Amino acid sequence: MGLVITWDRGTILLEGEVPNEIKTLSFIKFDSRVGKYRALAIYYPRLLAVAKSLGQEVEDRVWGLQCGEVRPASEVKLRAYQEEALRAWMRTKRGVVVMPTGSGKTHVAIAAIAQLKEPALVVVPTVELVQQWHAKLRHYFPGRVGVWYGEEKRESCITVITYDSAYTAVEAIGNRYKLLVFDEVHHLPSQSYRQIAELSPAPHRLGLTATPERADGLHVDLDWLVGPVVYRITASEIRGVWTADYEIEIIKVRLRENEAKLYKELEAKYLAYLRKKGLKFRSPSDFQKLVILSGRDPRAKEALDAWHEMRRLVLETEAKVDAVGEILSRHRGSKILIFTEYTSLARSVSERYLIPLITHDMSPYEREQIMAMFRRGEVKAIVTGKVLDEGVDVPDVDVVVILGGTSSARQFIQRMGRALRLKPHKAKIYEVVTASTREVHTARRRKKGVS
Amino acid sequence: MIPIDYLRVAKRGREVKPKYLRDERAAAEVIQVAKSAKTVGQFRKAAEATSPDKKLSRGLAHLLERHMELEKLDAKLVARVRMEVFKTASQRGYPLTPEEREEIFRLVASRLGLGVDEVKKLFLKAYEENREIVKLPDIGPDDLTRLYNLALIQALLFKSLYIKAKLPNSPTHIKSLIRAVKGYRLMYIAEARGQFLEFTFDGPVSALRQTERYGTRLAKLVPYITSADQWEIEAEVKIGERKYHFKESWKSAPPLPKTPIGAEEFDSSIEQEFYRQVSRLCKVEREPEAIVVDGRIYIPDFKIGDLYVEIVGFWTPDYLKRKYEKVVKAGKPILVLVAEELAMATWKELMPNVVIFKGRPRLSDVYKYIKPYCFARR
Repeated sequence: MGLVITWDRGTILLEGEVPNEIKTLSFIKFDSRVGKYRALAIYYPRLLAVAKSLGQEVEDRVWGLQCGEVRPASEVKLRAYQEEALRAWMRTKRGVVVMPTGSGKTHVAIAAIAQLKEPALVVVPTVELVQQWHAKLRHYFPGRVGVWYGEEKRESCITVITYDSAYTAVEAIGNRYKLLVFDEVHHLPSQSYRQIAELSPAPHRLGLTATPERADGLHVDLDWLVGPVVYRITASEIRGVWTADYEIEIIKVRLRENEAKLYKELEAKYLAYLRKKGLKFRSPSDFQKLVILSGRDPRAKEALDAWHEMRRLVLETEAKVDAVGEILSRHRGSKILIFTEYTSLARSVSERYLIPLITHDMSPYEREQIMAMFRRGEVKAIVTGKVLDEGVDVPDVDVVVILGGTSSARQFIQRMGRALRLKPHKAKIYEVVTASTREVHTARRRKKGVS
Repeated sequence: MIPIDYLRVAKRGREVKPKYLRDERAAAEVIQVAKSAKTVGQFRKAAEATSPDKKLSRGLAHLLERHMELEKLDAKLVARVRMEVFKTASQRGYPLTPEEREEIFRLVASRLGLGVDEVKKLFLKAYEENREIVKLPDIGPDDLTRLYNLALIQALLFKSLYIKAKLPNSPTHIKSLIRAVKGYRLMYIAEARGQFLEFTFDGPVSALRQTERYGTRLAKLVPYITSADQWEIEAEVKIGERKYHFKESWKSAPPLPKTPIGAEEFDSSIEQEFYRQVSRLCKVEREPEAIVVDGRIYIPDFKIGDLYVEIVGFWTPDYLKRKYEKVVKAGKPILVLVAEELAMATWKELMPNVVIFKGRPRLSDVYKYIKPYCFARR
C-alpha cells in the first residue's frame, strides 16, 4: 500500500511503508503514543519531494479540501507594479510581497487566489480587516467567501480569519486550504502566531506587508514560514503617483498646573533612583533592566510605577482632549481619524465630542456598524486606540490626529498610512505632543527615517 | 479561570507553586464590597481597593463577577441610540461646548421618542462598567476562596508543556476525564498502578517539540482531576524563558471546589433496555473500572462477573478490529453486541464473541454467552 500520509491536528502521520531514508529525516520523529511517525504539517511539501526523489509511492490522505476549484466572477485588474509583484510571487507560489500602505496589496492577493483557483485561508490582524477583506473578496468570488472570528464562524472556499482565531483553529481546519495569505505578515513570526504557518500543510503561501522587519529580528524566520521576499517597492517609488502627498503639523499642549506639579514630583523620584543606581538608558533594552530590578527591589518598583504614571499623564492630559476640539473646528467636513495610546483617552474624546469609538472592548456589532457609517460618510470622524493602526481602508481620510503613541516608527508609518490613499489634495497629519515632557523625544524618535 | 496576568506564584529553585489563599478574609472583603456596588465598574474599583496586592483583588473580583447576574440590556437599542448620537453630532458639527452637546442629546431623544436622560443613560451602557448588578451570586467567602485557589492552579498551567495526573480507577470519573481530553483535542497515555491510573496529557505536536500550545486546554482538565478523592498533578511550566516544575496533590493542596460529576447517562436507549433485562437475572455492573491496554483507556458498557460487555451502534470491521483486538489480546473476556442493520462485512471472521442483534439485543440471543459469568442477583 506504499507510504500513507494522513492529517492529524496540525501534524502529518506516516503509516504503511516508511522508507529508512524518510524515517531518518531531521523533521520526522517516531511518536510512541500512537506507534507512528509524525512531522509538523509545514513539512508536507518537503516530505512529498523526498518521497518522489526516492521513487516511493505515496497515498496522500492529508487533504479534506473546503471546495474544489475557486473561480473569480470577474477579472482582477492590476496596476503595473501589482502585476509585477504577482508575477514574481507566481514563480514559486511562496514568499513575501513588500509594498507601502495604500498601494493595493489586497488586489495582489485576490489576483493570486484567482490564478491558483485553490481554496484559500486569509489571515488578518483585526476584526475590521476581516470585514474589509470579506467585502473585497466577495466582489470577485460572490457566495464563496466566509469569515471566522470571535463568535462568528462561517467557513467557505475562501475564509478570512484573524490571527488569534487561526492560532486555535489551525488544528481543525488547516488541511482544508492549499493557499495561505498573511496580511501584515510581520505579525506572523511571534512565538504563538508562527504556529499557524507551522501547523498548516498548505504548499502555497503569500505574505503581505509594508514593513517586514521586526525589532526582535524574528523576521528572518519568514523565509521558512512563508518564503523569502519576492518583491519590494518603496513608498518613495510610488509617492505622489499612487499615494497622496502629506504634511505633518506638531501641536504642543501644556500639562494642567496640577498635572505639571505631579509630573515634576514623579520625574524627580524616577531620576533619583536612576542616579543612585548609576543606570543610563541608551536603548529600549536598557529599560528592561529596570523592569527586571523591580521584581526584587521595591525602590525599583516605585521608580517604575512613577515612570508609568508619568507616561499616563502626558498621554492622557485633558489638554489633549481640548486640542482635538481645535482641530475639529479647523476641519469641518473632512474625514478624520484620531489615534490614542490608551483606551481611556479615546473614551474621553468620544464622550466629549460625541465621536464614535473603536476599541477592542467595544462589541464587534457596534464596531462593524461604525466602520460602515464611516465608509459611507455618515460620520466624519472616528477615535481609536491601537486597533485601527493597521490596514483599515477608508480611501478618503484626509486628516490623521495622533494624540499619543509609542516611539515606534512602524506604528507611526502605519497610522499615517491611513491618510495616504490616493487623493487629489495633500493629507494632513497632526501630532499632539505634551510640551516639556519626555513625549517630545518619543515623537522625535518615531519620525526618524520617515520622510 | 482567571487571566494569566492575575497569577501569583512563589518560586524556589526550579519548583513553582501558586500563592494560595489560606484564609477567607480577602474573599470576604471582596464579597462585602460587592454588596454596596451598583455597577460593575463600581464593584471593580471597590474590590481593587481591598488589597494592596492588585493581582489578588482583581483575581477574586474577576471570579465573583462571572457569577453575578447583570442587568439585561437591549444591545440593539443601545447601538441604535449611539449611532443616532454619532450621526447627529457629525451632521451638525461636533459639539465644542456643553450646551451644544446637550442639544444633540435633545435632538436624538425627540427623534427616537425617548427621554433625554434615557438617551444619555443608554449612550453610556456600551461600556461594560456601566452595567448594573442585579443579583449577587450565592457564594460565600469559603466558596470564593476555593474557586480562587483552583483558578490559580489553572492559570499556572496556561503555559504548561504537559501535565501528569494520578487518580483512582473510578469509571465515572475516568470516563468524563477522557471525554474532556477528546473534546479538547488533546492526547493521553495511561498506565495502571494498582488501584490508581497514571496519565500524561499533551497534544499531537508534543511528540515533535515542546509547546505551550495546549496549556489553556490542559488547564481545563484540572477540575476533572481535583474532583477525585485522591489526586496528584505534575507539570512542566514555562515562565518567561525558564521552565519550572509544579507538583501538587490532594494532601498538600488547599481545599478546592468539588465539581459534581453525576452518574453517567446511558449512551443510548438500547443500552438502557439491555441493562434492564439482564439485571433482572444477573448482577450487572454498569460502567466497570477502566482497562488500560497499550496506554489507551477502555471502559466497556457493562461487566457481568468477569465478562465485559460492549454494545456497538455504528461500526466498520476496521473499527471493531482496532477497538477490541487489543482487549482480547490482553486476555480479558469480552462480548460485543453489534446491530445487524449496521453490520456490513463478514463479522463472524472478525473475532470470537461477537453477537449480532436486530433492533435491540435480546436476552435470548446472549444468554448462552453470559451464563457462565452470571451470578444470581440475590
